Amino acid sequence: MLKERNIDIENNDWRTHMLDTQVIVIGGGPGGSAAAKKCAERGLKTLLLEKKKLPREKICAAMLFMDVTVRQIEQEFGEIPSNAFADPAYFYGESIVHGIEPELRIKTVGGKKTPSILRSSFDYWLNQKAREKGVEIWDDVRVTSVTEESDGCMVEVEKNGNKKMLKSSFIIGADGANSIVRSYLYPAIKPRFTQGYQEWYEGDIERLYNLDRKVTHGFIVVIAGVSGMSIPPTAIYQKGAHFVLDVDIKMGEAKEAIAEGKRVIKNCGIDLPEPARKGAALIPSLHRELLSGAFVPARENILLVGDAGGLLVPITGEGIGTAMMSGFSAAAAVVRAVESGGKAGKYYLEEIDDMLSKFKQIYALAPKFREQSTKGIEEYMSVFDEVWALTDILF
Amino acid sequence: LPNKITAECLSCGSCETECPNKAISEGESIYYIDPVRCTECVGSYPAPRCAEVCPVDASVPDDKHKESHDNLLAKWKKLYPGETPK
Repeated sequence: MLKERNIDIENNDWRTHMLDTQVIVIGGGPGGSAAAKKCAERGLKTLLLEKKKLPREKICAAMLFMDVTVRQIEQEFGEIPSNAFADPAYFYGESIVHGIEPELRIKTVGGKKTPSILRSSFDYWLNQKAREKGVEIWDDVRVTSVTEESDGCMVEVEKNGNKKMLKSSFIIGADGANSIVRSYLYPAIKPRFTQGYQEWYEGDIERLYNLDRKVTHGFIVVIAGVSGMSIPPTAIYQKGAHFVLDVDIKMGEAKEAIAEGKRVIKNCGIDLPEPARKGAALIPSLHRELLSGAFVPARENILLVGDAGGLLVPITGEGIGTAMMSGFSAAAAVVRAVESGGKAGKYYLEEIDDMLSKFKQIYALAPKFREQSTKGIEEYMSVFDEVWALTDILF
Repeated sequence: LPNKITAECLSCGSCETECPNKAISEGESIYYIDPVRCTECVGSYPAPRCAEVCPVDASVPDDKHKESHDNLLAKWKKLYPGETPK
């Protein structure tokens, strides 16, 4: 294991240091680690910048829904260590009940085994694997601007109030839903966002409520909002010593969705205690722009991966697997650019073309999804299942 | 009175993406509203959008920076010269 490095901004000449750095990866999530590790493996001098102090928490369901995600992790990073798994380590499907009529069980799925991870430990493991391959990681460093000049890319960073300029040949923006790299490339592009909201409570759902801790528990909530009916997916699941309330929210409906979700859960006989902690995150949707070509997740030698590039599975918003896929693609594109002397952006679009064509097939179900979900719960559930079935076939 | 963000903030960034005036940015631990750019959404929305989208009500009126509706509208006009407020 390599030693942690503390970067002393005052005494470190960053500019000189950076002159021979080829790749700057911004963001230490799965997409960033995948890209950085692959770049370093191919002999490129790679620096990864992370905004938070590592290891860091990340608000996420933290379930590896797609088999391909697990396959590529095992192939590229090795077996996921036991400390990166939650307890239970796997969910065996989901149980969904109608919130208004709890006796009406809509779905009991056995079947699909889904790994349940702890993002903080999982992401940190990926960071360490990247570091072992030679990636230099600076955490607790905020990127304040990104610019491209004729002789390279400039990244302005700030730590403890001190600003420095870094220079590299390539930038891989893996900086999430509200990406600063994307806003530099496309100031006018504004994704539509969904909010993910969580409350974590101490305790065990099996002991407290007699709910099977090896499955996720979905509750159907319906909100008749101004923009029509919405069905925010609301779920409860166990993560180690805590259990999580997870609500997906249409922007502007946060209070209604959380209150209604809790009311429905109470209606099902579950009295939630005071939360030990709360969290929220943004889930971006850029598929319309991405698939029409109005938004291209690369320009010259700046590439966007994962949420930053809007590269999530349409409709379901599943993002860890596609973030890592696009991270590997970005690294492959950079390697091709170094070898040929061309621009990485063009190669990146070739590398992710297959993923985008799969997104296109799933996104074709979006009109049906919108239409069916205004009809009723059964219709909503059926099209949701269709989306997942297609995702499983394609990936 | 422009809004301010309290310690309840979960740093999800929803308010930043929804703010019509680019008045909100990420601070060291929580988000921060620039009172110079905040018009309480006068000119853009019927009510402060940040408060509307915040899942935990972390955006609240700032009693220390009271401003009249006319003031807020004047601020909006300065931000968007020549445009018509909603």
